[in-house]
Amino acid sequence: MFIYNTLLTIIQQGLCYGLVAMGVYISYKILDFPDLTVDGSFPLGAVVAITLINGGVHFSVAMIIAIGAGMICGAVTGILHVKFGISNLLSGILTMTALISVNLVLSGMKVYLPYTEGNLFNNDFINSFGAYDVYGNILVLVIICIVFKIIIDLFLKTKTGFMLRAVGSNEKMCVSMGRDSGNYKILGLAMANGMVAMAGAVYSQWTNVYDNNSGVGMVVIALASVIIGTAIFKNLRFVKGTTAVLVGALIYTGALNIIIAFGVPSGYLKLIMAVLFAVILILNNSVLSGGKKIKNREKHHA
Amino acid sequence: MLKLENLVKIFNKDTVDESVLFEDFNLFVPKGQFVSVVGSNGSGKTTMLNLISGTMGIEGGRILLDDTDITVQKEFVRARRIGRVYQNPSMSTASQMTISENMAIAVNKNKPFNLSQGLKKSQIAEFRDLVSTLDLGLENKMDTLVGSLSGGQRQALTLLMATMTPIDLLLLDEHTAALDPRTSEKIMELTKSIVERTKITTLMVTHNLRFAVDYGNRILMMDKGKAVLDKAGSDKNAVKVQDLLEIFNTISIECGN
Ligand SMILES: Nc1ncnc2c1ncn2[C@@H]1O[C@H](COP(=O)(O)OP(=O)(O)OP(=O)(O)O)[C@@H](O)[C@H]1O
Ligand SMILES: [Mg+2]
Repeated sequence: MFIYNTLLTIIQQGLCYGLVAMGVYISYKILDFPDLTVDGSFPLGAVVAITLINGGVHFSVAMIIAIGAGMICGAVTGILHVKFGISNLLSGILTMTALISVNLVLSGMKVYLPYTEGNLFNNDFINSFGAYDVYGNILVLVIICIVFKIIIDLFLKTKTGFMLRAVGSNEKMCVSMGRDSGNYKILGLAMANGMVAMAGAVYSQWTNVYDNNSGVGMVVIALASVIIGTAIFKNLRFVKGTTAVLVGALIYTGALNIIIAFGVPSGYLKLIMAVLFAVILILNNSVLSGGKKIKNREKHHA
Repeated sequence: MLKLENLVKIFNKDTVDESVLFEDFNLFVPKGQFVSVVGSNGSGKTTMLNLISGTMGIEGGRILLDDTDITVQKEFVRARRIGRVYQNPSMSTASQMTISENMAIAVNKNKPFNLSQGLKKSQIAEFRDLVSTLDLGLENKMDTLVGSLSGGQRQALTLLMATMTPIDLLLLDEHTAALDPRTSEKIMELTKSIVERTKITTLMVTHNLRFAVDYGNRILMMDKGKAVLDKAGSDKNAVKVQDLLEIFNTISIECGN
């Protein structure tokens, strides 16, 4: 029973993290931009959602606004980088740091906030499965993941999506097409952080509480998921990147939860997260080395 | 028509590393002219193309393309009218995308990159036919990532992509240098046929003196940021590889080698 419950937790948490990973897939994998905004835009999505929902706004509307808020953050990071020439890492750090205060202001200086109104996991539809039913939760999460996966997949096949991929692969390509590559970076970062903020909104509704610290380490979780996923499916090109990172998120969440289940005190969680990520990076560089290498080689030439 | 007026290019201005490449460089290329540019390493050929395409700014002078002053235009704005094949094969293709996908982007140059389908099934056959003119076997690799092609194959593909849409100026920087002799001959023929068919004004940098002599209707030899030989039309036709070699030798004797 314990194992079964752990498994159910892994699936739900993994799907939430999978949403973050799909956002980071856009910034890190498609755009080749290591975006640290994520640690701030994740709780931002959550606080926007809870404030609106507790204020009586329907959760669907609240989540759309959360996505918009995340997109603004991504755009800010993009503008800092593109228009003001600040390095990609620093731009993300700046936005993320500013968001710590923004999130506190939005939560009314509270570190925790409980949901007082019905939400994504607490409504007539879900409750028809039985209140707080875990299968209902999983169903909702699976639907959200699939919907957003399809949206991203379709987007990447459009002309805009093609150009976004081209910018990540080689900025010069975009320039030679007479386009400002900077605008595509801003667009990609906005989309990525919109996804992340939505993930934050979903996650907080799933836990039924807003936690101001919920974003700490989110970049690590997301990057680990992206790297695991893309490494596993590297030789299977018919598997979409979005599918790969969803699987990656489930695997990483699984590994974390299994370690915790062995009785490691929860204070060690971030340490475990970091060590596990380091192991993945080292494995990826030695055993699984692939895709990324081609890019690095190109950077030296340019 | 391309006009470079009194160009000044200074690297690392106001530092100890300051070096002046172009002091007062002038060049007029009438519409439809095909100029071969030769010159020793470091003579400023690539830099000239960089200044024209806006990859680098200039310290003085003006650049005109068909009566528009493009001196202060951003690189991506100029690129709408300029096609370029770089000396470095990885420069103007997206390595993480397939041949078809790269071509789909290229054919859409100067059209909106909106939310319509990026690559239509019907386009693939069209692209395959185009690629088969290269005779490099790429037509069987339409779904291969461009990053896994050889440098020469990428260079040839880049030439095709640069000329898929109408442009006013074509800049080729040693675009056959990475190719084997047979293929580079082929690509030169292809270049010639594209230039003749579309009548694009073309600047072609090459270290292959025979190509410089055999192709194009004007030859320009550069040395230390200056044109040391400039012959067009029938004068150009009289220029032989031997003549170019002699100038190269005189230059290096002057330099004391
Ligand atoms: N970004 C730069 N900073 C400083 N100096 C530069 C820069 N780019 C070019 N130069 C200098 O300008 C000169 C001309 O370089 P350029 O690349 O134009 O030569 P080239 O004629 O294309 O040579 P090659 O035949 O080797 O390609 C060289 O002396 C080079 O050192
Ligand atoms: Mg050069």
